[in-house]
Amino acid sequence: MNIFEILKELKNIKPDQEYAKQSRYLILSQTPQTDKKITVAEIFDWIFIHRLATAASLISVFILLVILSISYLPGNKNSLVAEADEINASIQIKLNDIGYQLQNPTEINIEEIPNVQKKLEEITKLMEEAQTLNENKDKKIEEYLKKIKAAQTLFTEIESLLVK
Amino acid sequence: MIEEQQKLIKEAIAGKPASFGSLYDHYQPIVYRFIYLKVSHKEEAEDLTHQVFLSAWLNISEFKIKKEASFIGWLYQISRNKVIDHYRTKKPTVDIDNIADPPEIEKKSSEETEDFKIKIKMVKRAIPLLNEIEQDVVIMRFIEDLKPKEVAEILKKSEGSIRLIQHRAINKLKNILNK
Repeated sequence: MNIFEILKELKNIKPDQEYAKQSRYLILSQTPQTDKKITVAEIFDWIFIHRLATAASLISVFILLVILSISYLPGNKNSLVAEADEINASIQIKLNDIGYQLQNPTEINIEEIPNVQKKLEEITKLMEEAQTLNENKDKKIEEYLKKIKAAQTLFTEIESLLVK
Repeated sequence: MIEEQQKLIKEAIAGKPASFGSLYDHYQPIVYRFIYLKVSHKEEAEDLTHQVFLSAWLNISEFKIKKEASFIGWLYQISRNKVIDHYRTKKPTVDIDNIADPPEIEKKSSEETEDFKIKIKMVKRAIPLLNEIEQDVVIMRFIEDLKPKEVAEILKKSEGSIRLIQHRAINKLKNILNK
């Protein structure tokens, strides 16, 4: 038995793909400490940042509501909860990405700022619609998820718009 | 490749999640293997690997960029500390003789697989019996294929001392396996 050959074979040990994906989502949804000195407020319109923050917090609150609502529904809704969780993590990552872009003004496409603002308005509108859905007694979870997914897509678009 | 890694590391230090994500994709299997071979437990290895990358991401600004090798060195350092903390706070709960098959090993023919599994199991039992530095050197040199110079840099030892440790560790492994 050649010990070196066996040791080399151990390189085939790999983590479970699903675990790796979940772990990645969870890690990237956290915000690291950075040494950045330049703040967005110094460069960009304060309202823009304020709206982004408002949209972000609305989305976070809304997603929490959705997850809670799904959890209380009868029947097995685990897959929906898992999906909502995943979208939530994905949105958090996008928000971190956008936050990074905004803190690095040299990397931002300034010309697209008006379009970004429009998309933020669309996100806010989506959130308002979702809140209306929440007030409706006949809750449709799939409709909730559609709204979150739409917000998720808009965040992806914002991210692409900001890239130079 | 190295330039691309350098760029990703710089962007990650500036707080760009996508860049840290790419680094995660590249280094996560290496860190997972390193930890798994030390703790011999799938769930514990997953948990500790998660902690290593979470800690690396949250403290990314503390990493001082030198070269690509130093980033994996930094991750190894965090991993070693996490494993040490793990054993400090919790005694191993798994009997090394009852370790399950290694996760996600590439499939071979059935006969080969059986033989392979037995050998893997034997080596897996043997690795944790080495001391910590010997485990590190065996994993980095013979599983991850790092050069003695790279291992020396990561473990902050001389190349000569790495060669000595690897010689001792391989002899120990052979003795254990021949018992």
